[in-house]
Amino acid sequence: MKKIKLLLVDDEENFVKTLAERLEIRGLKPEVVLSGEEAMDFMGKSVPDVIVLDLRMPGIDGMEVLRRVKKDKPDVQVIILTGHGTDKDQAEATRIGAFEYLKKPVDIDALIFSIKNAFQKKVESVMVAATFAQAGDFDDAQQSMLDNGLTDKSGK
Amino acid sequence: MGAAKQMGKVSATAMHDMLNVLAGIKETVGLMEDLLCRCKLDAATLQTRFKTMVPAMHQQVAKGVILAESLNRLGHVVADPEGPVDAANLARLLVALTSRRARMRKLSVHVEENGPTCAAAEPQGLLCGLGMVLEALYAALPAGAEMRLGMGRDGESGLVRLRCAHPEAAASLAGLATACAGLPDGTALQQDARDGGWSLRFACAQGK
Repeated sequence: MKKIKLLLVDDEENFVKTLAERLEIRGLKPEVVLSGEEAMDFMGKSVPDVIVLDLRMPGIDGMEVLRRVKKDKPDVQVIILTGHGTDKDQAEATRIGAFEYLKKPVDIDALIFSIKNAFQKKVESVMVAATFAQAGDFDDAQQSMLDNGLTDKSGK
Repeated sequence: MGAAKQMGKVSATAMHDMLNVLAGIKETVGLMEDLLCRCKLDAATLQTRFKTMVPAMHQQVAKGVILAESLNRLGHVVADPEGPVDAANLARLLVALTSRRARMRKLSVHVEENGPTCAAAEPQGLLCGLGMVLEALYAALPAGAEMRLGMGRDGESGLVRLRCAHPEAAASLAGLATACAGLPDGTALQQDARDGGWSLRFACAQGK
C-alpha cells in the first residue's frame, strides 16, 4: 500500500491505540491523538491525507474538527467513526464534507477499504487542482470546486 | 418532559457508551487474533502481550455490565411505576447512565452513600425531574467541577441535594431554575438560602 498519512482522533484511548496497532499490522502507519484540541495542534504541524475522527469528545468535538479541517484543508479526507450514530449527525457531517460516516464497532477491513478510497480521492483532488493550475486562470465553476475542496453535492 | 422521552435520552447516551465498550472489546479481540495469526511472535512475547490485553478486556466488560444492569433497572422503573423506588438508587442509575455526558464536559458527579433513605411516591416523576436537572447541570457547570448529590428529607418530602464547591458554580447555575422549567408535577427545584445550593424536592411514599 502506498504510504498514507493517516491520523486517528478518538478520546477512547484503549480503543484507538488498539485500532492503530491493528492498522500497523496491515501496513499503515497511523498517528494517534486523543482530543479535538490535539488534532488541531497536529494539523498545525503536519497535514494528513486521511483523518479517522470520532464525533463526541470533550472540548472541541469531532464535528467542529471536521468543520475546521474542511475549511482550512479541504483536500484532507475525513472518515467519521462514531458510536453516536444519529441520522442528524450523519447528515450534518456529510453536508460539511465528510468522506464517509462509519459506526462503531467497525470491521477493520471495511475501515481500511474506506481509508484507501479516501486516500484515492485525496490524490485525485490534488491532481485535478494541479491540472487547473497548469491550465492558467480558472473559470468560476473551477474556482468554486477548488474553494469547496472538490466536493460534489453528496460530499464525496 | 415525559418518562418515555427522558428514558429515550438516557438510553441513547448509555448505548453510545455501550457501543464504545463493544468497539474496545472488538478491537482487543481482533488484535489478539492478529497477534496469533498474522504476527510470527514467540510464545513468551505472545504471553506478555496477552497479559496486558486481558485486564483491558475485563475492564471493558465490567463497564458494559454496569451500563446494561443500570439500563435494565431503569427500564423496570418506567415499566412498573407503581412500586416505590429508593431515590438514592434512582439517582445512582441516572448518574451511571449519563456519565458520558459528564465526561464530555469534564465534570465528575457522585451520589453520596450516607443520608436518609426515601422512596419516591412517583418514581417516574423523580426520574424525569432529576434527569432534567442533571442535563441542565451538565450544560451549565464549568469544566472540572465536581457535583455531589446527597439525599435528604423535609417532612413528607424527599430532597436530592445538589452541591458543587467549584468557585464558578454559583454564577454558572444562576439560570438553573429557568433551564429546568417544566419539571413534572410533584417535583420542584429550590435554592437553599443558607449555602446557595440547590435541591430537587419530591414526594416520598407513605412510610418509606
